[in-house]
Order: sequence, then structure tokens, then C-alpha cells
Amino acid sequence: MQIKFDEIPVSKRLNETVKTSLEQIKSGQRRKKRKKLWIGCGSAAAAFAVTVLFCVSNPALAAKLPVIGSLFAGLEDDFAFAGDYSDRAEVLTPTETVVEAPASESESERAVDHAESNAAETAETPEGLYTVSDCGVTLTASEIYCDGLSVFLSMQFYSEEPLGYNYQWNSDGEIARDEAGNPITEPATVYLVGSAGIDGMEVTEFGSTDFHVEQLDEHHFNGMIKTDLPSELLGKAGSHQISISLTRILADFCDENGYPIIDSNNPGDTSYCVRGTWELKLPFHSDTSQLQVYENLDTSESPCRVTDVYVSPYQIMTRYVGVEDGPGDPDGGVAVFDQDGKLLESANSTQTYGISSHSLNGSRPSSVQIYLMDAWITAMKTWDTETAKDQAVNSYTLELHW
Amino acid sequence: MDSCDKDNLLLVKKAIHGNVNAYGTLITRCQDYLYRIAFLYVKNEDLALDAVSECILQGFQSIHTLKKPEYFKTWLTRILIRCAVDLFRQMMPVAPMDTIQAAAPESSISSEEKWDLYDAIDVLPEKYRTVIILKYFSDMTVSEIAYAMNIPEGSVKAYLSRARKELRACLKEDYLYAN
Repeated sequence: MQIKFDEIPVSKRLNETVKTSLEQIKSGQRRKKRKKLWIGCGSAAAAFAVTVLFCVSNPALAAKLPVIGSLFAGLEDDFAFAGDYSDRAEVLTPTETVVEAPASESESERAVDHAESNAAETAETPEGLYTVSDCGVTLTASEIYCDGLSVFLSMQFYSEEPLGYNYQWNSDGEIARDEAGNPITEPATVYLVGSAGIDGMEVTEFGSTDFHVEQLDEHHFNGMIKTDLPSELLGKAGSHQISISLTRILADFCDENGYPIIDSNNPGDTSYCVRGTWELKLPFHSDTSQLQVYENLDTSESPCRVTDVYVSPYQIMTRYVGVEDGPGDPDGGVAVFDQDGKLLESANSTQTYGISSHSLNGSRPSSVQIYLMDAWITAMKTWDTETAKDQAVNSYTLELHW
Repeated sequence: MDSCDKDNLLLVKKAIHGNVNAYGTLITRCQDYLYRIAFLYVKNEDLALDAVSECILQGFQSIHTLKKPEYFKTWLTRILIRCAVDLFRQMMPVAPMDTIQAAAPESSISSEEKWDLYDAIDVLPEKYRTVIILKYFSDMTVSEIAYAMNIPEGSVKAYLSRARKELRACLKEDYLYAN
């Protein structure tokens, strides 16, 4: 019993409104094709956020690439915090050279065989300490780097149980196919559940992890994890240890007919769920040689102010004091623009209260304008300097030196 | 389950886990619907656009709370209605919609023939307006409306019944109950 609903004229500005709103969300999420930024910290009170990005190489190249030990090189350009990590990273597990496979062997089979031989080798070496296996899932840490603000870790994920793919659909309801008639696949959506800690303190719980990646094959993913340092370690050089503890690995994908595999026995009705224990303890050195530190930036009595700003080649991290909406319920957010008024994308959508991280995405701005808002949602909805000026409770200009 | 449903379900599950692109695809697929629902509430293009924009932002913020992916559209409609109502109240701070009586504008109507369905709905009390919009414009079932409004199904049925009576006072009966 429809009543002329479809005759209500739609505004010509609707497309633009929707686009703008989605861009605002994206500016907080910093998403790109072939990568996924994971916000692992659900609590605003948590001391630091854990961001995970799994980003994989072209499947066709899988058999030609080093499997472990040089993952950064293949990941860093597509990473939300793009930059040169491979030259600075410490290698945890040495690069293995791919053994030439018989021509008749499929790429997938080669990748699996190689991973298996690699796992066997590393298990007999000290580097094997950085490989953990449980319930058919193996995680291998590859390289690590800390810019004085965050720990960046590359890892490989291998599952004995094959994970399926997702499929693209045409508007006519058919699975999209390439010129050869093969289905056009999208990666399985992978989630990790667990926690991270540094030097045994400030343990943060991971939320559900959505990798949204292109898979190497049905068994393999490579990726990067970004873990922000706890507040007291920001900007300080030194040697530390990061512990990663995962308790569940989940994934969503479709069957060969394109039907989502929904298992009501799994959390979130996911297609795949493995419960186990995967714990890695990894040493790292906090490298502050490239870090610009602006401490005690605002010494005023303002109840809402930016206190410190840290600038690394990868990100700008701002520490601020917000406002109290109520007892124990502080709020605040930050928007950062470069000298040309370009918004630097926020590293996460929740912005842990008191600390905000923004990606430089490979750029080297000569100066930045920092606007402090009294609410996170206000910062998230700010995408140009005019709006920022109108909304900000405080603003700061920093000249940067590279 | 048709292919569109399957595709949507997958997108919703991705969106629940924070995938902006999936969320964006879902939004663009239902943006006209969202706008029309919002417009029915606020009767103003700018306000309707504001409501849609706010709904998109709030929806993404809270999508992780969506327990049943198949209820995405219903759930989003709930958010949209809340946004639209908030905007409408901001525009009418003195006379909240809850207090507007359906019969009040009748005196300004010179002829029943001039009544437009949308005008009639516009003067319904908020809860009646909501059930009418969700029932007759969104094609929702009673249980879906109950979910969207977070009220018992019995209340939905009661509201529908009373809302129809209010509308009958303004409209020809065969308009609403045609076919």
C-alpha cells in the first residue's frame, strides 16, 4: 500500500550531501583500496590505541616475493601511514628465498608449500620465537619499527583451513566476471581479537579486527600492525618489548556461489572462527632520531588546550586536554591541516581521548594548523579550515623542520 | 534470499566491522529513501539533507551495535527519524511535535479536497506520524516498526489504529485504503 512515496522529489543536493558525509567518515577512518585500518581500542579511556592494517601483495606476485623478513617493502606504500619503513626496520625473522616450483604447480600450492617449509626452518632457529601456531593458524612476525610514537609491525598470517573469498556483484544481480569469465573476487574480511601491551603495562584490548584485504591465496595474508605507545613513553628513545596476545581469529567470506557463509555458532555469525592462543613478545627500539617534539605548547590556564605535539616522518600526534561533559566523561578532538589547507586524515574514528594521531601519508608539510574542538564528533565533521576556525576552541600553528 | 539481499547482508557485516566503503555503498543504495523519509518529517529540503547527513554520521558511529545485519535499513531508519525529529524540534522549540494535536490545523483548511496526505501526516502527533510513515512509506511490518521505534508490537498496532482514525478525519477513506 504505497502512497506516492516515490513521487516525493529528491533534492539535487542529496548526492553531494551523502558524498560529503561519507568523506567525513573516511577522513576519520583513513581507508584506501587494498588496505584496512583497524581501530583496536574501543574505550575512550584507554591509554593507547592499536591500529591494525593488513595489506597484501598482488596474488599473482605471491610466489615471486620474499615471504617473511621483508614484508614492509611490499606494504609500506599502501599503508595508512605510508612511508619508508623497510630501511629503518629491525628484521625479526630473516627473509627466505623462494624455491622455484615446478611449472605445473599452481601459485597457491607454491605459496603453501613455501610457507610450510619456511615455518619448519624458523622453528629451529632463534627467529622461530617470533612464530606462534595454535589451532591450525600460524602468525609470524617479520619486521618491527618504532618512530618514537607507535610500533609498526609486519606479520604473516597462515591458516591451514582455507578461507574463501567475497565476490563482486553486477547491478543485475549476477556475480561480476572478468573477460575470461572468472568471478571477480574480493578478499575475505578478517578480524582479530586480543590485546597488546608494552613493557607489561598499558594493556589495550583489541576490538573486532577487520582487515578487508586481498588475499595472497586461501591461506595467506600479510599485514602491518600499528600500536601507539603508552602516553608516558611518547617521544622517548629506548628499548622496549611489545606483547601481542590474540584469542580469536575470525573471517567473513562467501561460498563459490557467492552466498555469504553465515555460521550462527560463531561470534557475529562470522564464516570462520578459530579460538586459540597466539602470543608474541617482540623487542623493539624507539627511534626518536627523526622525531620533532613540541612539548608544553600551550601553558595557559585554558581548560581545553593542546599540550604536546610530536611529528615523525609518518604521523603527527597531538596530546590535548579536552572538556568534561560530566564527571569522568571528557571529550575533545583535533583536526590538523597542512600549509595548503589540506586535511591530514585522522588515524582512527574514535580518537582515544587526550591523544590524536594524523597520518602524513608520505608528505612533508612545512607547517601545520592544529584546531582543538570540544567534542570528537565536531572534529570528525570538520573537513575544511573555515569550518575548523568556526568550531575550534583553540588553534595552533607549527612550523615544521625536515 | 535474492542476490541483492545477499550482497547487502555481506556489506552490512563488513560495515559493522568498520568498513567505510561497504557502509558507503549501503548508504548510496538507500539515500533516496532516507531523504524522502526525512523530508516527510521536516518538510524542508535543507533540514531533510541535514537529517540525512547526521544520520549517516551517527549510523557509522553506532553500527557496531547493530546485532542483526538483516535489520540494517530498519535500524538506520530509526536513527534517521531521531535525527529528523531532533532537527524539527530545534526549529519548533515552543511547540514540540508531541503536543501538536491532529485536529488543530483543521480550522485553516477550507475544504477537505485540499487535504494532501502529506499535510495530514504532518499534523499527526509524532508517534502516530512515525508508525504511518514506516508502515505506508517504508513498507515495514509491524514487528519491524516495533524494532525501529523500540516499542512493543501491541503499541505499534494501537498507534496505527489511532493514526488511521486521525487521518480519516482529514482524508477520504478510500485514499488510504484504496486497493
